[in-house]
Amino acid sequence: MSKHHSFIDTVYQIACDATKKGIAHLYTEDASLSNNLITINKQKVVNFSSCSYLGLELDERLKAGAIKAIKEYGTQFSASRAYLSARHYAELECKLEELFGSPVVVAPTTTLGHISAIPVIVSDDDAIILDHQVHHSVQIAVNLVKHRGVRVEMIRHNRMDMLEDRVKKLREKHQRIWYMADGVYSMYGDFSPVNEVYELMEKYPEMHYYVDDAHGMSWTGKHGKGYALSQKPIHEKMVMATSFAKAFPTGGGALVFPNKQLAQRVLNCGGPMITSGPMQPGSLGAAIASANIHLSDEIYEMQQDLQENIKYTNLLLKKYELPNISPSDSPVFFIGVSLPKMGYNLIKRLMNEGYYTNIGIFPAVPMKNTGVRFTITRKHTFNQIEGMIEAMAYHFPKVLEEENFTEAKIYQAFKLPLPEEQKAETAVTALVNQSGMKLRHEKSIIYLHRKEWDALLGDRGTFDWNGMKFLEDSFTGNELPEENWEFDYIIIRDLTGKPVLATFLTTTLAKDDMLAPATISMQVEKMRQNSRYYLCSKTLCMGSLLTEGNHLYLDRSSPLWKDAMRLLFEKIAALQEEYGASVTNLRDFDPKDEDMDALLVDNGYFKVTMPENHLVENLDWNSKEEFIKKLSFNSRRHIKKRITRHEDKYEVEVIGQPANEVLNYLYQLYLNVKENSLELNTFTLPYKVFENIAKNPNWEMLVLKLKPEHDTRAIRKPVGFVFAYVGQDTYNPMLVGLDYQFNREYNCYRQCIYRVIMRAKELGLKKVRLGYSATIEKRKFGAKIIESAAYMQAKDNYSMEVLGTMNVLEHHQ
Amino acid sequence: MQLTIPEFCSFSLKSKTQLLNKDGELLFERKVYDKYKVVFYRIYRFYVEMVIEMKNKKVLRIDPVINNQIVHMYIWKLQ
Repeated sequence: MSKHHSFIDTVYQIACDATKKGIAHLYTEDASLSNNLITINKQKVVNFSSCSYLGLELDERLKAGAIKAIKEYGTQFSASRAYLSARHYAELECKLEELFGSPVVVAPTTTLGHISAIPVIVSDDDAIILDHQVHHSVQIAVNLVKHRGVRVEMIRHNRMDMLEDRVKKLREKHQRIWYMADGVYSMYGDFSPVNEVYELMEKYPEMHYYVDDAHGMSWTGKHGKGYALSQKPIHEKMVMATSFAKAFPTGGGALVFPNKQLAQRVLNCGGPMITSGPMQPGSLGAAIASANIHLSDEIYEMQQDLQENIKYTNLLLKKYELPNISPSDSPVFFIGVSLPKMGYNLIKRLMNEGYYTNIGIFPAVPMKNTGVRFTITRKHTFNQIEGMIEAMAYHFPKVLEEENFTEAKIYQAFKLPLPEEQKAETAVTALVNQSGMKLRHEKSIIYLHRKEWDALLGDRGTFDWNGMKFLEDSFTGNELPEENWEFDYIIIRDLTGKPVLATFLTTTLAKDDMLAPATISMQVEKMRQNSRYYLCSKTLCMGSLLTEGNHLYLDRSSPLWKDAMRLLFEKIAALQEEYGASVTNLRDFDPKDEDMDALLVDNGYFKVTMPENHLVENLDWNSKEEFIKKLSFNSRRHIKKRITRHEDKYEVEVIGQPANEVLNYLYQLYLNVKENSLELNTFTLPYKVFENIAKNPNWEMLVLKLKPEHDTRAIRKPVGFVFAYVGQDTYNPMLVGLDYQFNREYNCYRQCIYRVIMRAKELGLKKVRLGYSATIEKRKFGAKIIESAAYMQAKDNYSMEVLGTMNVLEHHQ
Repeated sequence: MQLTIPEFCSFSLKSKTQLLNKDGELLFERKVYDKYKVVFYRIYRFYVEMVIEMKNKKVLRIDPVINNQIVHMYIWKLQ
């Protein structure tokens, strides 16, 4: 399963969860609508989810306009605009030009408008800078030009300092740089800093502005021309896209240009303008009627009515002290609740009280920034608004209590200042007191009982008591930040003292592209040549970067296992704050474990498929011939052709403490492999790790040399090595080094795998963990694939989305 | 939810009317020259006067009564 599927799976799971909880994928049951009351599941509720901010969708003039146009031209006029448009188009575009004061091209939808405009206005040698929160439809259109090699970057939301930095850099190579943003952002309802963007456009001739003002349309500006154009007249280096499917409200969209030539160019060349169906007569007729209202003074009265409702809403949210994430004058509101389970709970309660609101959830916002998103329209009464907010204020603390969450944590998740009185609250203590469980937290393995740790986690890989001691010795007291790890050991016991959960966590600086495709990592590494820690984040991880396997002991037979997991989440959240870690990665879970999956997703984690791991079991054969005989026909052929044929050409040695120059040479072989392996992109291990391995009796150094007749160098040197940790019954090869000069002819890598299996047998062990990647190769040795999933939580999605914008094709060009 | 006088005053005439209908208590009304009707309300922790043009029933203004003497006069009339 690819990472992409994992993303889709997470989105699918969230949608299914929300549907199951009765808050998404719903249908109205009303025969007709006359106001903002709708019926869902036989219950009348006030609709607080409509983006028709002016409530014009039920205006009789719009209905009459649609009916008239349908009577005139039928339900559709099916022709490409490149050939022929219905006359209503000309009438609408004429009125819209008056409305916007600039040339306009009407599109069937805003998304199709972006797809028409962006590939036409952006040239191959232009660059694009996306705002982190720019609408997904803009990003879809940008993907089309990425394939032409257009450079695409992303900046943090509304960060004008970052924008200016990137413009300064990009103008060295690009004549035009497009900054793409929303006028009003659909989730938090905040605005693009239009005035500051204009200042930058004045300062840098190369800078252009593409703004999607879908949510700003109608409710603000002269003739309702939208938020962006209410701030400044259209700039000669600006293109604006807007929607008729929000406050306008007829369906369709429009592109507004600074001059006729550019408008004509998009009309002539924009893909959907040529090949997609047009806006249909019904919508066109309604749009003409809506444009008439927009061109009259009536629009200002409507805008004023809506502003009064917005003002009242802001006032009440403040009085009730609800976490309004981005207070503004826009009709979109977002009340932060942090975790999905909190959002589901609160929305369900509001629904029961007769108010329908939306959940703002991943991927629209980061997992931990879930919230209740609601909209205010002109049609809401003060009674309805107060009723809804009163209900929210009543249920909000009840949800906190029910889900064992604190308001302080919500403020932390949204990086908002904490309400003073809540700073002292410690959620972990509260939860421990409540459940009766005992949590033991230690910063070093030396404080834990060796026998108990090994009984719980000792047989799972390289992290038995000795293995942890080795890691602590190797990753503390180093020079570089990525070489110093924080270690945290957690054991949770029930009332009888029996362990329910045990694990260890490490916190270190990690590369955000660690699990990204190698082509992406290659691009990021290029950037890191100038800025070593570009796209690196302090990451709190279950297990460590140098251990593999299931790092979580969990007694699933205990009725308290879910409580223990919740307690672990609390502890992790506290450690995350203490270390300032921006990413949490809980890894090596069974991807088919539905109970665990639901628990993790509910607590704000999203699933990522990990690279496949490999395990060779059943070392119950007595000779290498017997081992080979057990393999499949193809594998046998492969082993004979690629491995046993070369077997006699090698000398294999298990060495104890090598001389410094030998160890140094092995480190060079490790670096060869590291430089060639970006599938799991991590920082290079410090030399100190090699020194410690050499000193540690639990580690073995399996060194492969070619016999003198095959290695004709003056001084024969190793051509490959494997460092393996010898566990209770498992052989764990963790590091490999190769001399690629000999690899092709003598299949050194394959020889290493083969020798590892033979060595494990020699030591009388039962299993060999072959680690990540090289699946095809490892399967030939009878390795079983272990699929596993990681669950991540990022304080924001920025890094993930920057990686998403990286042009995979660039590498190939 | 209680609003303060400045908060109440920040709203338009239409919204003030809505607030009075929702949260206000009509205490007293009087006619002025048979042309206007002045309606006295208690809302939140203060009092307001609503002035209506009688001919076309148009609300002309809604303002808080901050002069205590006027408030007392109304209350005296009520008694």
